[in-house]
Amino acid sequence: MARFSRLVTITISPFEGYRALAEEVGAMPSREARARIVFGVLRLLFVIGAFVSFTSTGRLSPLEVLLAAGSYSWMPLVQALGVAAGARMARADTKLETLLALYFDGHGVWFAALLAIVSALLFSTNSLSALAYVAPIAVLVALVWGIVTTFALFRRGAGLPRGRAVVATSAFYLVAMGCVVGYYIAQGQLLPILPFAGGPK
Amino acid sequence: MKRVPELVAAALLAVGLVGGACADPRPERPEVRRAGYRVLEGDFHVHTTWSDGMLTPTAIVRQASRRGLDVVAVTEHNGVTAGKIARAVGRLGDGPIVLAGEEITSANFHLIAVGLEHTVDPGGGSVAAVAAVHAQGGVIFAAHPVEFFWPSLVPIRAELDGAERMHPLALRERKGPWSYPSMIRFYDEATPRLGAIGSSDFHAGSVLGICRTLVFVKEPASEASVMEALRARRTVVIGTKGELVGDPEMVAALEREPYVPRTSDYAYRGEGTGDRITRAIGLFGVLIALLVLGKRRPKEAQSAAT
Repeated sequence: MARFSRLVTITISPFEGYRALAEEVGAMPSREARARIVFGVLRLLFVIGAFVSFTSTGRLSPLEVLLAAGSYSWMPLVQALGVAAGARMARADTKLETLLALYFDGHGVWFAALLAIVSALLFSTNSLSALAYVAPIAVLVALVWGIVTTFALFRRGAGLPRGRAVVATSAFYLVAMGCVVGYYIAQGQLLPILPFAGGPK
Repeated sequence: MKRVPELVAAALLAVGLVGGACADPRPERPEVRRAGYRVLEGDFHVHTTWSDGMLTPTAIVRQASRRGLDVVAVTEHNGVTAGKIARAVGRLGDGPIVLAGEEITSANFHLIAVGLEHTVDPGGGSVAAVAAVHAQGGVIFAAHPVEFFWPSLVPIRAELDGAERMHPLALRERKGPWSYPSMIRFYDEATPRLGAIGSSDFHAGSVLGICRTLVFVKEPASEASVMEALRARRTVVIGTKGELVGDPEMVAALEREPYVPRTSDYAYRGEGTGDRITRAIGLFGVLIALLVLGKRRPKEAQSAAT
């Protein structure tokens, strides 16, 4: 496992992976922990950019990767806010920069889902049919395992008891999703489409 | 030796990125004329990252060029900002004409408005929305007017400038109130005749322009001449069986001298062997990079730290 990245370690074994990495990150100087955060954020944005480039053009186009990475730069901010909220709600003692460094190494299952979708599009003889099968399964697996990984972050990465780890995980998703929902409400895109919105037809 | 996997990942990524930069086709957009008009291929229903789309306004303009479109309207849900950004980007180059618009979206109706400067609030209802769009000099179409939306759309049908007659719903076999046959009926039963619109309703993937509108504009082709053509309902769409639907004079002109819209690689087939190889290498490079970059610190370094 030492030959592979931290991403792989956490994806395959989130609880054990976070326990081991928490010791490692906790012991390192702040500068190194922050470097890991930066690396994790850039990796996340690169993968998103690559996904958008592959799905829209079928290839790894540098400008499309950059444009998409820039436009999704809000995502790591929202996620960091969620981690901070979770840690605060559960009264975690672990330093926030340690938790963030660990969190941004935990996206492996989502990266796997995105790569699976791209592979289905690029290598199948009927892209749309392949997508119809692969995408729902990939997203579902990523959702479930992503929640498990986030719980593992707070349970082993932050060393929280089970109950407080549940609180932290719930707070993470509430805050992160809340930011996204709040954006759509502020833009006037969500409330008008709700069936109970009322008003003239 | 220890760095070999990382170097391999970097090399694969570099090949993928160079290949992606080199093989980025922009089909020719030759000037075509029929019945004294210039024929433009357009997509008037497109979303961006400002709502639930996957591409930025800038990327949409580039993608429209890739798909051989002459004109594209960015029609964000209940907002024109994305459309105005895309229009500004479009004005910088010699690519497709870009129009700013909005998909006025409520639970009861979806209306595509093109040629807007200000957002139209759906809260006032469909009648008010139509009036607000016309007051700005824009045009307004029924978006995917399936039976589900008829209670709100049929009463205003006579005030609309057009309706989507071709949409990706045609590519699926949906039944019930969201069926493509019901969408066709809304257009076919309209009196007076509505402008025929074909749109991709683009959100993500490669399918921008997969359904498109042939717009017959007076020269020179410009934002203003496209708007004039849309107001005059001088449009034609090609149906699922190749039938021509729209302005009778323009349909007759196309029957006398057929026109085949530009093809596009929606299925990710690639432009030749080199392109196919480099895109596979690029994907493989991303995978290898994720597998090997960002390892744990060596045990001796961890011990030294503690």
